[in-house]
Amino acid sequence: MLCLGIESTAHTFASSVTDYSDHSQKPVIVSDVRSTYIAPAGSGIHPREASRHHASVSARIIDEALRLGGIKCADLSIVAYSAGPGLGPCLRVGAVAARSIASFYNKPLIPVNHAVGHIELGISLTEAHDPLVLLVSGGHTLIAIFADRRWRVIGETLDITLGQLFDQFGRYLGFSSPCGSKIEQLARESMEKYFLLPYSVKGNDVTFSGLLSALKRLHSSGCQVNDLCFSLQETAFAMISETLERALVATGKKELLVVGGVAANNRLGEILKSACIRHDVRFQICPIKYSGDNGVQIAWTGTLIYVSNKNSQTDISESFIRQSWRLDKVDLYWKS
Amino acid sequence: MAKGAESNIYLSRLFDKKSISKIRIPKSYRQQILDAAIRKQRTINEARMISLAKDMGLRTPFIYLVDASRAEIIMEYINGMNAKDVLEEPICFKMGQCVSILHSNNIIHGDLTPSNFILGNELVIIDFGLSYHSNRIEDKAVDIRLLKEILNSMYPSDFYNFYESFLKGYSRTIQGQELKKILKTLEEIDFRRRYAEVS
Repeated sequence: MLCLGIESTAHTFASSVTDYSDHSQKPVIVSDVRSTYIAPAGSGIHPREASRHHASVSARIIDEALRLGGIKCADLSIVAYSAGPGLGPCLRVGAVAARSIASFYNKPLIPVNHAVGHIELGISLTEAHDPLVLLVSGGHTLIAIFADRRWRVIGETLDITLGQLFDQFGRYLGFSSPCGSKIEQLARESMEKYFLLPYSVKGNDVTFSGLLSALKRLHSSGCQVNDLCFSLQETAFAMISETLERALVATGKKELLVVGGVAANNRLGEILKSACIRHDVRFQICPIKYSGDNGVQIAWTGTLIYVSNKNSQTDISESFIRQSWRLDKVDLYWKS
Repeated sequence: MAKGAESNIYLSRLFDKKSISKIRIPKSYRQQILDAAIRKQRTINEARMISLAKDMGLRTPFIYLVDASRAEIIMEYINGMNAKDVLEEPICFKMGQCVSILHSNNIIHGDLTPSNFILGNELVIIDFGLSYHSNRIEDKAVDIRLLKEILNSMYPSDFYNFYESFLKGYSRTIQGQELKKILKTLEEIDFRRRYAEVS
């Protein structure tokens, strides 16, 4: 069963075809094509500019995703698109493309929650069964467990996300977002001089804005950029790890699954692994290739939704995008 | 005996009294100065706040010994079940009463989860490592929000009843305008979350 997935929540426009068979229940990734909008140095993703980028590459990306698998639109069983949460103008580009294909070829159209996509693909690509999930990206920083048909959020950021912390400090230094790998590299080159920074843990929740302000202040007083990037990572990751340990103890879960763009950070992985060892918890992380935004997560989740209920397709006139669509508002009927 | 998020708990004996030793163990993944500061500060804080809470008439463990340099507290062994495993509406009500007494004395617990209550002859509240003094409405609301978050995810089918019982207990001491303000702030904090829908 072939599904075309279209992802366009933020800086990445991506498309993928996945295949599903009842036997394996693991995604066969037929194709995975992406194009990322790069903002001018020192600035972030401007929704309008990003959406223009998406509109200009959309036809080529989708075409390539189909061509790489030797697939024609008529061969598809499902068309899935990322319906939120994300930037409105960007989401609309993906939705328009998905609606066009679905209506012209008369295929079922499935809207997918982007965060659910990250998690479900992560579960399928690892050996996770009933994990505590850490989703860390530009859009999310949260800890969730599955209970009673929904992913339940038990801890999250109350201001900016981990990805935003990296991006905003990176932009302040004059880089263009996404800045995660740049900051990680600068931190690695540091002589490991550590500055004590605001450490804000509120139970299972965190806040990062104070940390960001302190970093900017230290930078303007002449501290080494490498050391600041190092201190940023060490402090922010220690906060995440502490809330995670709290959540592990409170829930008694024996597996951890890390997904989302920031999962690509090696230092974060190292810290979380060490926390898992202490609690005798199995550590699993989404393969780097699929941790950032991609079309596979949408195609695969769309497939799972459709397979569980053939009536789950959305009428074109009712197909939506939702800029604010929380993970914990989505009922997942195929999981029990 | 047990492993908490940040400490190891050992059964010990002090002057022939059954007691527990709670040691905040160093975390190798944390920068050493950050780690040392957190462990020391929370140990001292916890011991002081547990005693303060006791002065307010709450049942907390007796503190026998504090060794800040080792981040160790030796305290009374409490016989009972962890509230997390036996949670019922009447327990939530008592938790509410307990928290409202803390809040009316301007103490914020900082880690309100059912696992930080032990049900013995009375309901005992523990783990004050993250607690602090504050009379701000915002801090009281954040305190309750954590419990709400945990109840909603750990007990989805009983969430409504558990949370209502908690609030009933809470309103025993904190009432009127102050209660209204706290609950309103709590809603506002929910809207601060990512992708919260503005209604």
